[in-house]
Amino acid sequence: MNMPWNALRVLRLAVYGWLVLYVVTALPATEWLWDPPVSPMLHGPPGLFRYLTHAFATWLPIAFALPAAILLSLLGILALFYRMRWWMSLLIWILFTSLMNHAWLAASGGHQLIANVLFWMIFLPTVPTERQVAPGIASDLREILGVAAFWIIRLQLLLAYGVTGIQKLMGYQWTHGHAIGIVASDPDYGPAFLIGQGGLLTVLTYAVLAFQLIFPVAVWWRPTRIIWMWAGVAFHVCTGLAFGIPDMGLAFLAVYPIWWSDKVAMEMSGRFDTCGNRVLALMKGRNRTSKHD
Amino acid sequence: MEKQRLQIDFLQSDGRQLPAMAHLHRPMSSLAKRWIVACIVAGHLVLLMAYTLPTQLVPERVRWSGTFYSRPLFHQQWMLFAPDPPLCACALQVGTASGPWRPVMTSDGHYLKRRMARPLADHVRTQVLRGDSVLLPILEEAMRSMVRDLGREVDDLQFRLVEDCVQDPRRPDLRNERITPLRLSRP
Repeated sequence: MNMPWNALRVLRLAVYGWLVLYVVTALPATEWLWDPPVSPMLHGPPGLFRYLTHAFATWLPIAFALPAAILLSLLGILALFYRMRWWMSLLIWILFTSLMNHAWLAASGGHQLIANVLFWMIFLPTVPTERQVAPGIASDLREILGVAAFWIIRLQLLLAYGVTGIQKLMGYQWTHGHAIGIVASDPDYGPAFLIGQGGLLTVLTYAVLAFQLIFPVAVWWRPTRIIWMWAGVAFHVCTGLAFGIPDMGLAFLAVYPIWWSDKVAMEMSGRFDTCGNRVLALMKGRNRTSKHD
Repeated sequence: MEKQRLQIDFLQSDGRQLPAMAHLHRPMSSLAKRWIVACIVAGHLVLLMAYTLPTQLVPERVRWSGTFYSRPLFHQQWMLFAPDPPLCACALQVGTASGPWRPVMTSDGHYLKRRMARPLADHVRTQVLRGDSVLLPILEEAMRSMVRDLGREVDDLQFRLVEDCVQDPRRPDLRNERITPLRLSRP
């Protein structure tokens, strides 16, 4: 069973990159988010799993929240450069989910998406299956879980868009073209410059609805995949800036590479590598000139 | 040559010999693996859909199974502005008997700090709409946490819910303001 290894590599870079960016930007708000938290303490659903997903409400003291956030950002940085063993991915998921649930008032759908993706990334293989020499039941099981995790992450992204579109169909304001007008006139969201643009607001409402409902089909079908993903980039950048939820938009975009082909992923990672090499070369050049000075 | 190939097959990547029983394992066929993967993925997806799709579309028993499976590890809700965007913009304000009112979260702070005020106000509004006269202790605790700096200096804090509600969805810019004083369990 083949998997697009380059796409998986870019997915890892994007998801762990998002994680590091989010935790580092959240650190200045530690006294509101985690220690002591503004969000009321939730103990999670009954069962043993809450010890993993709600660690701070069950067994880990709140005083460990800041060290946990720092550890999470360090693990995220490590994950950008090295292959993560399954137990390190598990640790990253536990820390992220517990911190997210500890500050649930500040969490969004993007955080929930990343939490789910991080869980399934525990099972994603880091080495192509043909290079795993040892045959056996364990190797078969690892392969099955790896491929299942890959498809679950793919479908998770489609489900998020599809379900939110279907949820909107159940209401009145989206189907009657008023929704974007209501959101734009809400002082917490905006953008305020859209207020009063009657026809445009109706068009935007139906456009958003169509984008979300068609997303699963358009991304599944290869010829429309890239076009719809570019539409997604525009959608998330606009909503991220207008509503003040940049982390939510970037979280969705970070999961897009799971749908890339190996060729596209290789091109993209090649560009990143070229940029990285240029930056490194520039830094080396500066060091040399400063030594000469 | 064949013997040599078999020997190589049963060496691990670091060159160590595999345990004696390993060669007895009959590799699972690719088709069988595909079927197992398809069952895992389909099962997960169906249960997740039973949990996240609108309640009108999912039979109650199926929804229960979906919740039982998804809630502990895979909790997610895709209801931002769905099924309808909120018609009322809610804000919580704090003040004293003598002083002016101000939002519990000032708008100049960290983006994550600003974001917490709105969902809390929405939760408070839900409780007010239910007709509860005294706030739930966890909501009250959260409101007090938001003004913790003020709370140290002032004893007699008061809170109120301010709603700016759309009257006609075709003219969303015309909103009516409604103010509800909030009763706390302790002063």
